[in-house]
Amino acid sequence: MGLRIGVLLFGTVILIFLLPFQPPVLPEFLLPMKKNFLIVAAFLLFGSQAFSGGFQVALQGQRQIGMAHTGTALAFDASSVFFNPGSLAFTIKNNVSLGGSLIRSRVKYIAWQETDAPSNYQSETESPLGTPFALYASYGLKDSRFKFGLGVYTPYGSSVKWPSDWKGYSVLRSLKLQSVFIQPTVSFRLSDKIGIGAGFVYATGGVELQKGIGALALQNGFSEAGLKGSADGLGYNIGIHAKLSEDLSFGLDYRSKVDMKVKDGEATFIVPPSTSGVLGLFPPGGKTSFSATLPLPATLSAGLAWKAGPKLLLALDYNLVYWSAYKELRFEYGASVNGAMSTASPRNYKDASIIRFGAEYQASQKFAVRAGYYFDQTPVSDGYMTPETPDANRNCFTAGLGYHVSDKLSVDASFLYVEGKTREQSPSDIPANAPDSFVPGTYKIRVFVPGISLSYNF
Amino acid sequence: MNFKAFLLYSLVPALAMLSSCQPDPVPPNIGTDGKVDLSNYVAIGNSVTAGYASGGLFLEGQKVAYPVLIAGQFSLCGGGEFNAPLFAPEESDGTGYLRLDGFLDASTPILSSVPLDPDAVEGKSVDAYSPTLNPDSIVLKPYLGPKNHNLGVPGIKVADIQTAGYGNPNSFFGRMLAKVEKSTATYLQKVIEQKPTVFTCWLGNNDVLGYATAGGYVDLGQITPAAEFSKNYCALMQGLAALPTKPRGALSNVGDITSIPFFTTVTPSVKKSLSLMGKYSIREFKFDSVFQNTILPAFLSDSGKILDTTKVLEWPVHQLASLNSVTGNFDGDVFLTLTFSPYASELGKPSGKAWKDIIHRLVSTFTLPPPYDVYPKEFLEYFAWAKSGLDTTQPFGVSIRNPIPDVFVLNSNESARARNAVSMYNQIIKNQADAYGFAHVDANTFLKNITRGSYFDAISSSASYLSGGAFSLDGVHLTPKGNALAANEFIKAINGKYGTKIPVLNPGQFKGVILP
Repeated sequence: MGLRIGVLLFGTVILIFLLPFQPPVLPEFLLPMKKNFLIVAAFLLFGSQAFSGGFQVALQGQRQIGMAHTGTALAFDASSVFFNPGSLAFTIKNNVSLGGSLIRSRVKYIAWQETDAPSNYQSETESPLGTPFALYASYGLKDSRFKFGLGVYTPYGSSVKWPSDWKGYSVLRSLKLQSVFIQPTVSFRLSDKIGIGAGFVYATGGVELQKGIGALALQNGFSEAGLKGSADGLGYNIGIHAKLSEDLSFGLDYRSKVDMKVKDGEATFIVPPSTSGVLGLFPPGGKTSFSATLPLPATLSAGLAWKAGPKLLLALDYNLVYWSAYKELRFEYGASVNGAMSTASPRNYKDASIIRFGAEYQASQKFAVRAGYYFDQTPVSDGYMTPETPDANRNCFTAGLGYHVSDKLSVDASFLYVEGKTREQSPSDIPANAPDSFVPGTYKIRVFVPGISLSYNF
Repeated sequence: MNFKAFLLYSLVPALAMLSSCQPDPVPPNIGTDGKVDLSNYVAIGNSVTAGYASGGLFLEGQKVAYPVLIAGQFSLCGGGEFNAPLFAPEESDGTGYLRLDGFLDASTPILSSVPLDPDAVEGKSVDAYSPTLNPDSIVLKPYLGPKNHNLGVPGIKVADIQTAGYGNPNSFFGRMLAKVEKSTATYLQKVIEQKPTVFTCWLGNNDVLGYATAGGYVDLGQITPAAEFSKNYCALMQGLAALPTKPRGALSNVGDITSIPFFTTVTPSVKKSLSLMGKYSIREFKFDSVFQNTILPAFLSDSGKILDTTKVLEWPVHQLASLNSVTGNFDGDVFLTLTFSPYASELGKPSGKAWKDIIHRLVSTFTLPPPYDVYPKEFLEYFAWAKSGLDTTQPFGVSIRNPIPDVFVLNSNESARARNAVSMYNQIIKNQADAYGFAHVDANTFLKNITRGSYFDAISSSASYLSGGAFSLDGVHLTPKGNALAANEFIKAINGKYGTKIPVLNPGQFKGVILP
């Protein structure tokens, strides 16, 4: 029964993915049985995902990244602390794993074009390196239905740095958002078929933002505002794992919203001395405090995992990210800044879906190869695309390789390639009440993320 | 089976990747497509065209004049050489200019003058005298660099362009000419001689600006009659259109002069403070004519006698001249000039600061004939002060005995006259553009957009004095950013008219006023 459902579901998924690309005819000769070829093929599929839409980072487990960051219905190891605490009780061994990725993102920008005002202006972000990581540990007594876990991971973050004199410098020069979630977790196997789990999340992180002030020229360049602060917040992660049959599992997980609150950040203004002095436009000495709240949205995930054969594992995940929580980016200042105690820039994000499809093939006793694809819907509506997250719908391709060094130790590597659809920010779409938050033009984002992890079972 | 299946599944993302990968976006092709010959660009215009800014013409300003910026964009599309008549490096301060040194308080900037560069001066000549433009009768050294393409001449009016020998009274034009041409050449001739293949023309502002900035005081600036404007402007366009080079060009109209910071900076705060005082009237008074018609002759006949100051103080002002008083709430059509800003805070107070400065400046321009030239200027000043009938113990600007000097006020009649002239000029300019198929730049709308405070394409600008970004310290001329915005208007007009693809500049990378 379960098997049939699985076949049906995966068949549908295949269809979904084939539809946009015209179903390819697959001649038999394309399917040689050589291992080497397979590995090469896997690396050709290089891809993994650095960012999800907005500033979500879907890089929480190397094995899962290789499979399009599916995992809600998978019970690999301690990484279920993140993917689904309900699955953790189904992991067989106790486990510690540590992994990290290296994000290289690049946004290309072309100025807005009008028929009578073509522009040859272009710019490109200065590929900052992001280094998200994930550390997981799980422990349960043998034959116990309980399993305890701890996760330290980085589910949200963003790092973008434009050339300091780029066209949109008054809107943004650079932004760094970091968050580290610490999640103690308990998982309980209700029966041989159903497990539940819950984790408490303490999030800590920070924000660092620089933008130019084009209206205030300096002898050398332009004025700049800088905001820097640490933030924290609380949340939870709950999930349920169901074994529908021997080969088919289902998972449902809900990660709550975490409001990251900056309470006593430092706002620094590099401005003409007169403006922070006699003119009183900026706080004396160009410094004041600020507070802000950045919502890290809740995510609802549902997943299926199907052991399609003795060596083949297929996974399908659907995420709904409640981005609509991100209405505006608002900073409250400790002193008047340019005549106002606060600034607000509308974001009006929309809830967004992600669909993930991943596969793992156990090529040999030691090696596993993985591949995946996911489509990541942007939460950003037309007109609201900012240089901090020049977001667009993204096609994401992943590949991975697993190697069992021994029974206890394994190494997993992944590669993710993300390509955002080329997206235009038209001046006419820009919200009239906040034109200074947006830079019209054409944006394209590409992200390359290699990653590696070590996993130890005991 | 598993193997095949895995490959099959792997192929799906592989194909997805191949089909969804897009190349990076690239900027569009630029160029003229042969529609406009950019090989010989000539800029026709006045101070704005010359790069005049912050009350002077100097090297830094010349380098960012909008024609220079346009030429830079032309050069990306096969444009030819473009030289501006730059001051030599050792003459870099040019005619001198205003510098912002700081602020006394939030609304009082401290401006100082960078003096005229002595290296830029050849000498003095009475021929070069102009009360507003050149009160010191300075003659600038000739420009000796490579062939000049920027014919922006500060101070030039459309009324002047057919005046033979205009190089003498206007040294900015004179320095572009060979010595022999100075007393014969007209501006129009020099333009035609250049045989441009493409040109921009932004003339006409001065035909009304001098009148307006002098508060409608006609001795300092007059409005060119529309008929005269039309005659000269049409002659220029006819001359250009008749050239064998068949030039393409863009004609810019004249902006609404009352929307520039020179008029919009002081006015609102004065109106506000007057209404807070509960006083809704200001009075202006034309002193200069009183001085010339009454005080000076009186002085010349009275000197030698002992002055009875008590008697002259009894003369009420309104008996000396017609008092030009303005009352009401000034609904937008009465303007105080930027030059009034040092006195704005004196309104309603018993203050003679403004009159003291006016009388001092006025007296200093007069040379008394012998035998009276033995009298020190201070004496004449004292006499003028005494005879004026001004009573500076009365509230300034509110009392009939202590009115605002006329040169600081553009009253409703005067501003209406100025606006009326602008609209007539602009009609002539539009007609000429249409008649010859030249592009038309609507600087009037462009300036109004700036005035409203615009934010477009990540660039903000407004008509706020100092902080607005587009206008320099004199409140009339453009900053580098303002020049870049203006250059784009010309480029857009040319692209729109001729179908070229000349790229626009990014004005956000140019600076406004640099605050200390």
